[in-house]
Amino acid sequence: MNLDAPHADTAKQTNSVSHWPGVVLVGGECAAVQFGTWPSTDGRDGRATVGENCHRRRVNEFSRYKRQPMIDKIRNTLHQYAHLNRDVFTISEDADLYAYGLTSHATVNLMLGLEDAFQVEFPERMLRRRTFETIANIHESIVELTAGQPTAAS
Amino acid sequence: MPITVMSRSFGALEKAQRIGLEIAAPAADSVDREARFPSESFDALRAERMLGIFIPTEFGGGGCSIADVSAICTALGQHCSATAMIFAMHQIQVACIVRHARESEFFASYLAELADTQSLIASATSEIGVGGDTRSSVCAIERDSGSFSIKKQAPVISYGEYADAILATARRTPDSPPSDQVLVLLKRDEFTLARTSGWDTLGFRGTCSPGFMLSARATEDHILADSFADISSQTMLPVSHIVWTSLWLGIATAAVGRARAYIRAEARKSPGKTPAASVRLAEVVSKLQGMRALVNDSVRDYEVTGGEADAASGMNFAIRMNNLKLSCSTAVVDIVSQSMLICGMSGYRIDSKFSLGRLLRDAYGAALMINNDRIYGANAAMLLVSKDD
Repeated sequence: MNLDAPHADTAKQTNSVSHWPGVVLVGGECAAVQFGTWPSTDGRDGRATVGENCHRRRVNEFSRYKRQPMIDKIRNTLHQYAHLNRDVFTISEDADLYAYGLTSHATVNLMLGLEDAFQVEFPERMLRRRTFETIANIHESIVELTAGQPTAAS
Repeated sequence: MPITVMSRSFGALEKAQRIGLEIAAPAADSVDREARFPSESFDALRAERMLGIFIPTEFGGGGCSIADVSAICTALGQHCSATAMIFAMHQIQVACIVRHARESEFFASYLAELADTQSLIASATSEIGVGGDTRSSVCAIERDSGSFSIKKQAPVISYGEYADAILATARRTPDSPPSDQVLVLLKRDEFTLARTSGWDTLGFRGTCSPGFMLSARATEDHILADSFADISSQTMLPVSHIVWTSLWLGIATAAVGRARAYIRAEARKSPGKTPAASVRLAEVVSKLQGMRALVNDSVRDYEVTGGEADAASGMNFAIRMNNLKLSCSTAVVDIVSQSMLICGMSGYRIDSKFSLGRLLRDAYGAALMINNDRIYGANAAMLLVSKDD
């Protein structure tokens, strides 16, 4: 465990308890539902199911509200650290950042910037070239890391 | 002393040991003194079809594993560093093509041709103007109706004048940033080399590595499909570090061999009295064992982790493979120096059978080829984000 990380406690917490009522998360995945219902945007109360389905739903609910602010924040972080040869605010979310000049050295700074901006810590399995290849990939990783963290994009 | 316990080389290791002992070793001093290509070694390696050992059998190659290639580099490195280094660098190029281009029709037939003709492939990854960073290119490939051309100012191309083909890096297009690179194969009749510098160095003199202006024109199918970023992290870097450290292990093994022989000769002169330097021998043998263990462990690491594209491009693996190079490049100098202390003036002399001068000069090259400070810098940056191993 990284004891230096100022947000280590937050990260630990999101891995055990989600902000949804009654949903207990183990290792970041939804393992069991103890009680209660899911709040939903379409007015229906959908009873939560276990496992992957629950996780997917949680991510969907989350991203419906948070997507655009997160993308903007990612673009801001890219602007600060990635040193691309294109305007980061106009490139598509699927553009290959490496083709726009993202170097491995800049990737390290970008990771540090994103970790600070979103108060997350990229686990070793995400420290791959693919994770930082596009804005969409970065967004997907951060959604996974911040799922259950209501203030992540604020 | 067993060199490896993992060989499945079907005689390839034994052939390499024989070539090393009978052909490379007797020529090693003249190769070094005259800074000439070890042609007798390569005639023998070609005759035994050793240049194709890393090519899968489906293409007519020897189907050897990285463990086999590592053991062979160690075996050759014990006798002639230049022969071992050229052999090792060739196998790095083969590994890149096998792993990253075998799906293409052109490269599949090229691999078969390579196995058949026992061609030697050189590498042009460094370039004047990028400060030693192989993940940056100045030159770019310029496409023109199915073909491309490239002009590259290479500060070194090892055995360039003796190679049948060169793998070179370049930016993907003239508009691409320095880090967006591709790897291209250039065959002998597709490139010209204009020498821009000499190669009169302290060690590895027989690798014949002067600078060249490389100009080439080839068809687009010569471009490897995978980006060089992937080729570099998944194959070129780990395989380079494994084969280089394997041959440095050969140099260290040869030095310790001379120290052992010296101590034995001393002990025979006055039986019953342990030579003073025998304690130093015990110490250096332990260091050699540590170096060998690290090389073999990294070979296993590459066999397990390196096979998965995702894990192989991860930071932990890169840090470990960098540490292999960092540790062994300093260990080889330490081991050869200590062997020199054991052999004393006999090791210092050029005209003695215990002479260690050539081995020491070669050993000093290890920390410089991809400078250790650059690698420490890369690891330091990765450790800012990399988590526990």
